[in-house]
Amino acid sequence: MKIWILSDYDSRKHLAVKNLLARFHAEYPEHKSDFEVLSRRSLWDALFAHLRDPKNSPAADLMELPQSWIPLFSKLGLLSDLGDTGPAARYPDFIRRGCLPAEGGSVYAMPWWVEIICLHYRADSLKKVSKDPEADLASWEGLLDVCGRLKAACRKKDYYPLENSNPSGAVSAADVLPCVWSRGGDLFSEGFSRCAVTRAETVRGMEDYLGLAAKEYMPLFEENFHESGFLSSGLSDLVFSGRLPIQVKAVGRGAQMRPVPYPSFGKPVSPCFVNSLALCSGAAGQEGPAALLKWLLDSRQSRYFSNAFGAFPCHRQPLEDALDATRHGAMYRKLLENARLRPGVTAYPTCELLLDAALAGAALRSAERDYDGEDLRRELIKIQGEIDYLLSIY
Amino acid sequence: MKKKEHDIYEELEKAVLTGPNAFFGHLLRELAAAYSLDGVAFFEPDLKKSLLGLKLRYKHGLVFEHEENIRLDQASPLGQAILRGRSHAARLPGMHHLYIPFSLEGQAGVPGPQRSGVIRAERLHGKRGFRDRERQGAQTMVRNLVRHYYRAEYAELSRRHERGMAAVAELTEIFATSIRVRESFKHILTGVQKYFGFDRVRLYLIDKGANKLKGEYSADIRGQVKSISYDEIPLEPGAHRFADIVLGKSTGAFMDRYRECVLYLPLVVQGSTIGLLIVDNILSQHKIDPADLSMLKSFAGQIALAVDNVKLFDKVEELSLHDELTRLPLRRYFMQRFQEEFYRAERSRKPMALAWIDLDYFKEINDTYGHQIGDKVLKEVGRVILGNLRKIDFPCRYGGDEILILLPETGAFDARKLCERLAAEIRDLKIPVPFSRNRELQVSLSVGISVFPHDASSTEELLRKADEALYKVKSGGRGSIMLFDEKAAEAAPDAK
Repeated sequence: MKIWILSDYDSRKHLAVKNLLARFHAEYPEHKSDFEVLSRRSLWDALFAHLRDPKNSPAADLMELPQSWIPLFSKLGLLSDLGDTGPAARYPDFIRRGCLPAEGGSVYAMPWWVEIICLHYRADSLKKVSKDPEADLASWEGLLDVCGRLKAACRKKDYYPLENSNPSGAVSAADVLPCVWSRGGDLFSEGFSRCAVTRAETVRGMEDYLGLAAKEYMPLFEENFHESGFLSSGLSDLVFSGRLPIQVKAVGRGAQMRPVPYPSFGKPVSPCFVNSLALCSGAAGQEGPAALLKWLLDSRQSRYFSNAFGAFPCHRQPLEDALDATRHGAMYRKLLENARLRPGVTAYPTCELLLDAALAGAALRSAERDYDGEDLRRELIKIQGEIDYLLSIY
Repeated sequence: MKKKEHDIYEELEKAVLTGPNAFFGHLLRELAAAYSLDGVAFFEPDLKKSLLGLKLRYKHGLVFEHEENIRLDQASPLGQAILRGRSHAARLPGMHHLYIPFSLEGQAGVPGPQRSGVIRAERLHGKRGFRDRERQGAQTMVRNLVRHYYRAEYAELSRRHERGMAAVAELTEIFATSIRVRESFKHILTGVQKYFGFDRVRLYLIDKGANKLKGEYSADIRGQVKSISYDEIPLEPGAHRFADIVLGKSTGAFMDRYRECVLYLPLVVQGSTIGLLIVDNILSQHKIDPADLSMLKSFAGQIALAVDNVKLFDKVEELSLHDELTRLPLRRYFMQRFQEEFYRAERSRKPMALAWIDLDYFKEINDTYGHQIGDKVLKEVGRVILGNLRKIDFPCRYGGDEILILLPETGAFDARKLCERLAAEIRDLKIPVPFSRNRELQVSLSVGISVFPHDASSTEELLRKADEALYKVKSGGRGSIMLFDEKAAEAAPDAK
């Protein structure tokens, strides 16, 4: 059986999958498997290649997909109905609401791990510029202020207060979305009948995020020597991330990371991004992949897996255990009360793809000191037209 | 134990056949094994955006895809390596790096644009850095291996070529045989969708009479075809971008942004535009491959011809199977359907009725008012009948003023009710006759009805019984409706 895993640009995750599969093979020697690590773009291309030509472009039997892709690919008939997947009560409310269908609906994917997006800061570095980092970083204005102070205080060449959390070095839809939500904007109207990328709050949210780079608080298109980025090199002190713990050992023992909620514009927001596991409907034999899926979603395995790269498991009890294990469990629990997931609408992945391209273009122009907000707004108008059209046909 | 050179090349052979990504994955693995590296990365320049993209990484024994774009700083070790065109070692916080640039330029027969790249060999801090001998050895190894890269490109090209050839052969076959039925539109669309691999293919045809561009069918990525006949576009400049394209007045403004994933293909036959084929990858946002684009363009003439043939065939078939005056099917067509419906009724044990209609005094109408008025009467009667039937009912102009209506899944009671409704509506018709005293003409019907299985057990018998019922009506003074056997209305399951 063939398995596709999303790269997520974290070799700790790949190693965890490798270890898990070795354990699975030891327990079930009759089920042989091989896995491949794909970038999001490659996975997207591979899924469409399979839809177009299943014979010459076979899909993996088991695959990891962003939760927001499930409505589209289940509609296109690519995913198997998983049938009875056990009691939904195993999942915390925010996962159940955002990832599982209403009672009686078909289940095409099972939530595997979740990122709870926070702002992480180096406590030892911020001590020098802030007496109360948690209070200072509670708002977007406060974040900009802290960045300004850090930038002024640091004499290192190539220092940026905020690490670019996008491994591609650009800015993507996933990066700006929390900021857009915090501004009160969204990518879709209520009820998902229209695309809302040109709404004033949505555009402001995007521009706020891009503004971090324009002010030189965040690097764009710089070489990342370490997998965990500029923080590991001591060239940044803040990062937006959904995973724990962030490795900062390289810069010294005193380095200590702490999370705070995503800075808000008055409206607190707790973005959570879920990745799920699904079976391909065209798989030759479903027995092996189904056994592996069940095994991977077992509490013990999902706890080990998410913990290996600092993410959180999706099952209620392992999630509770993971939160208990951090020193910031209370803060995370509070965040999860208002957790917000990407919407489950068929046109969402295409919308994200178009936004990624528009924002990458804007980021490149910003890095070249040639950014003009009008260009982005023009792109957004076209994206809105395109997505509205997709909403009308899919 | 380090691998022998022979083993490295044997595995390289397999990777070459899989394609460019597998080739570089193999290269990273071999380099890591040969020089005890903690990680290896492969960068490729994106000339369009002036960025250097990190495409593949190797770590923990695994090759994985990456998407990192770097603006090149010429002062950085990476920039230095590229600028000088030779390997460059650097010590960075926590890491030793060795950058090895390579170029595929000068390789005989490398297809497509020249490719180049950089390999970054990584050793964690605490291990030894890269010595000169290692630097040179690694550079030689990379350059020796990438010499085989063109074969990976060829393998990929060969696969695409094979796919293209299969597409040409199969599409030509589809287009050549697509003259039989209207279903051919569906075959053409699924053929184009399948062999070019588009998200969606839509066909619009020009209806000159209505001055409209009418939607016909749409085939999606799963090959499912659905009708888009609800989509009608006025064929006027500015009414819609499709209309502008067909009229040759498109400004191209809409296509500018998305031209790489939407293609409009006007279908032209002998200099006249007959429709528009639109293919798109809007959902996947995949750019339409230039090779596919030119192939599709070269097919446009064949597609147009195939579509035109289907339209012509449809027209000829319509004329041969339907009466031009009443628009009702002709006797030959009716008898074929009658047999099929009869078998279906037998199999499903459902009733079926046959109504034999005669226009009262039609000969006299013709003789008195002339054939023009007679034709007008027939035309109006045909219109009323077609407007009152269900989709499954099947009428026919049996000959002269005789009309048959086959009513599947209908018993005597409902058949009579329908005929009463038809007779009433036809009685209400007022056919203008300018030179008559009354200025208008009224028409009445005589109808005989027989029912399966109550009255008959074969098509011939059912026809005969309906004719007999009609004869009784005509003998009794015309203008009424009669069942062959009145008991059928009581016995029929729909008699409520």
